[in-house]
Amino acid sequence: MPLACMEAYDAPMQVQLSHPARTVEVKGPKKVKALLRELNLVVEAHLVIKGDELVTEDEMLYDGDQIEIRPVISGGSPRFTSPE
Amino acid sequence: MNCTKCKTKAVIGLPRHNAAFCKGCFNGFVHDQVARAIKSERMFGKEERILVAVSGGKDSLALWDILLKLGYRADALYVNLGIEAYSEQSHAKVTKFAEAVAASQGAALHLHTVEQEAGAGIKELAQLIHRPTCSTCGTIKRYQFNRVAIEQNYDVMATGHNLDDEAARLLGNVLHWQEEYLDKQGPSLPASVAGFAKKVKPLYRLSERELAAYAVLNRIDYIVEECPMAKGSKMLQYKEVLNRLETESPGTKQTFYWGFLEKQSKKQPTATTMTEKDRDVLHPCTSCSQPTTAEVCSYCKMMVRAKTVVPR
Repeated sequence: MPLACMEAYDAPMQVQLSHPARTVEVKGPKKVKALLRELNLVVEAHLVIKGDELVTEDEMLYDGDQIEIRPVISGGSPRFTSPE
Repeated sequence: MNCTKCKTKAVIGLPRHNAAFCKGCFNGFVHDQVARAIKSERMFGKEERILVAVSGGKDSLALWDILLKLGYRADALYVNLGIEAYSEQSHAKVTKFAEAVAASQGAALHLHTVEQEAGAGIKELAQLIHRPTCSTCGTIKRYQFNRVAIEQNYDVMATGHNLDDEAARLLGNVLHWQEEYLDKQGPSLPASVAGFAKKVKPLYRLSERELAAYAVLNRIDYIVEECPMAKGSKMLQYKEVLNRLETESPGTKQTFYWGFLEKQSKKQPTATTMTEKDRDVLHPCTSCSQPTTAEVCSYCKMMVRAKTVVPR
């Protein structure tokens, strides 16, 4: 196998994170749930997107996959608490 | 994991419903939840005009999208707060959605720019009145959404508050025993006095994660970045705690908030009580006529201060 292909085959998955924006490399294969646990991220507060498709927690991720872990929490103001 | 309904490959699992859905069935689930909220809380009918408060985030854009798909007459208002790059990006997302999706269904987008009226952005205004930025933002948004709803004769104003927002706010109010705020935690607030628009929260049955999934699956381009002003806010802290509980014990958030709503509804006819209370304490602001507890409302006080101090 040519060296370039070997390198692509062995490349760990690229995981894009937010807040702050950064990319980390994680070795596969690994289930989504295990990836979140390894990164100490709570399932309920994140979506996992492989390529441009949403994936469930039991999906297996492999080396070379492009993954985005997107936080879903937002909001600062405790809105509509006061009478005005 | 397969879809609970049609058995094809699922794209999202919903532990709190012990279910998983493919894209088509998930969209059906989301639309059903919103339709159920609208009906059970008597929010609005098909003939009424709705003003949706949009921010460029997933919740408000998803709400606008869902209401239009369900066949409602929904226009939107965006308030540009003047938070530099964040406001520019969120404004662009709203404009894009309005042009690409809403306009074809005859829906209009209204715009209010804080800097045009006040001569300063939200950060400067918060400093001027010595209030936290999130609180100042709340004052401006409440005021402007209500103003446009009243001036443009909308029947009801809809916001994108979701289950997480309401559960977190309830937690905050209970932790600090702010019992006087609990009456206002329902998903449908009546137009209690002249000058106040009816306010509804059609997304209160859906979690933040479900709404983000809806936006991703339906290619709604929203601003993912958190508002830089909200970093470290109490609301975010409460949400984090609730999400840890939810992950360990699915259904915690809905049991907490929906359970509260059930208890409130059994306690007394809340709408009447709230209306009576509002009529006792609210009267028109001497400057702008919007209802307030003081002689001059907090928004007008802030504008007077801004126009005195900020060089124009």
